[in-house]
Amino acid sequence: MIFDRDKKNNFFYNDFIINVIIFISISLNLFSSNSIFDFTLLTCVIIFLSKGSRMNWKYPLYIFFWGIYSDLIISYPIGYSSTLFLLFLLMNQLSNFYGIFFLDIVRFFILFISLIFVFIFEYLAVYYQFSTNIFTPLNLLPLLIALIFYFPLNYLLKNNLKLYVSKE
Amino acid sequence: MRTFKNQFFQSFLGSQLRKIIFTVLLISISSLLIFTQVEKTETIKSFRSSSIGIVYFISSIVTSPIKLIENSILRIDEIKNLYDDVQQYKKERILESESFQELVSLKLKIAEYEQLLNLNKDQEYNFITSRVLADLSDKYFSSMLINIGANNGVFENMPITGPSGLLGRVTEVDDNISRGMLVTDVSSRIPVSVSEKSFQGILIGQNKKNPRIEFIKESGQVRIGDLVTTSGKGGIFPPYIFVGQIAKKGEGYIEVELFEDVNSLTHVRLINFSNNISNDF
Repeated sequence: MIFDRDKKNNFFYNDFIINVIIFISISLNLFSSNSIFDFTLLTCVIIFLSKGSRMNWKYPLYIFFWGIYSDLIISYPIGYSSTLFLLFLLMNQLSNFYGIFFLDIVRFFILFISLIFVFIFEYLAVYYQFSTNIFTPLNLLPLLIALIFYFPLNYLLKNNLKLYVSKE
Repeated sequence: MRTFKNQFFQSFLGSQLRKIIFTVLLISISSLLIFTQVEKTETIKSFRSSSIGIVYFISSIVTSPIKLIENSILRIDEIKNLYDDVQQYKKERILESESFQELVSLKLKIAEYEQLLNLNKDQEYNFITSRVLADLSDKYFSSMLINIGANNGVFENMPITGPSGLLGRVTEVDDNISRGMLVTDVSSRIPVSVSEKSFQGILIGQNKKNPRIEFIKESGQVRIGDLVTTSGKGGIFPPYIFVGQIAKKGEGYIEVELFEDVNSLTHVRLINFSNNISNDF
C-alpha cells in the first residue's frame, strides 16, 4: 500500500507528497498572469520548509529535475530554476546541520536573506547581460508575498501534514 | 556509551555532509548549464521545442481545477466588459462612420500617389489567428503559449500581433503549440520607426509595461504622443505595424506605451511574412 505509514514506506510517502506539491506549484506558473504571485519563489519557500535534509540522497536530484521542468515551462535559461531550488535546499540543509531547525524566527531570517540575495543576483545578471535596469518597487512584491506565505506554509506543513518539518 | 554516541554522531554528520556535498555538486552543474547557455545548442533547442506540448499537457491537467475557477471569473468580467463596449460603440457610431470615410479616401489617395511615383508595391502577407494558451508576461523573460504549431504553418520568428498592434515574435515551435517572446521581454530587440519623420531606433524590452527606445539619433526631436511603428529593417517584422506611442522622455531614454495589452487578449495573429530571413534579434 502506497500510503502505509510504517517506517519502511515513510520515505516513499514523504517523497511522493512533497514531489506532488512541488509539481503543482511549478505547473501553476503556466496560469499565473499577474505580477503578485511568483510560483517559482513560492516553490523555493516550499523546498526551504521541506524535510529535505532528512530524506534520502535522491531528493536533491528530484529538485534538480523539477528545476529543468520549470525552465521548460517558463522559458528561462536551462539551469536557472534548478540553481534557485537547490540553493534553497542547501539553506534548508545547512540550517538543519547547525541545529537551528526549531527556531522559526532564525529560519525566517535565513529565508529573507536568501530571497534578497536571489533578487540582487537576478537584478545584476539581467543588468550585465541585457544592459537593462529592471528594478521597480513592484518587482519586490512577489518576494514579499513569498515571505508572507512562509508562515501559513510552515504552519500547514508542520502541524497538518506532519511530514516535512522535523520536530524530534 | 560515549563510543556509541560518538559513532552515531559521526555517522549522522557523515550522512548529512554527503547530502550537502551532493547538493553543492548539483548546484555547480546547474550553474554550469546557465553559463554555458546550453539551451542555445541545436539539440537542446529542438528538445525544448518538442517538449512544450507534453509539458503543457501535463501542467494543464494538474492545474485544471484552478484554471476552471479562473475562467469563470474571467467570463463574468468579459460579460461586464462587453456591456461597456456596446454602450461605448453606441456613442461613437456616428464618429466612426466619418473616420471610416476619411480612411477610405486617404487609402485611395496613397494608391494614386504610389502609381504616379511608380513605386514598388510592398509585399503582401496574410496571417493565422491563434488562441492564447498561457501568458507568462510578468516574468523577466516574458512569453506566451499559443495553440498552433508547425502543423499549421508556424515557423520561427513569425511576428505576433493583436488587433491594435505588435506583441512579439515566435521563438519555439512544436507540432501543435508554439511559444512567442513578447516585446516586453528583456532580450527583445525590435527595429522601429518613430513619428511621421521616421526616426530610426531599437525598441528594447524592460520587463515593465513600457519598453524603451534606444539608439535614436534624433531623440531631441521626438515628442510625447509620437507614433511608433516597425521599420521593417532586419527582415523579421514587416514595416508599418503599429507598436505604440511615445509616453515619456527622460535623461537618455524614451518610453513607449504599447497599443496592445497582452493580459486582455484571448487571440493573436501570426503574420506570414516571407521576408523573414534574419535571426540576429
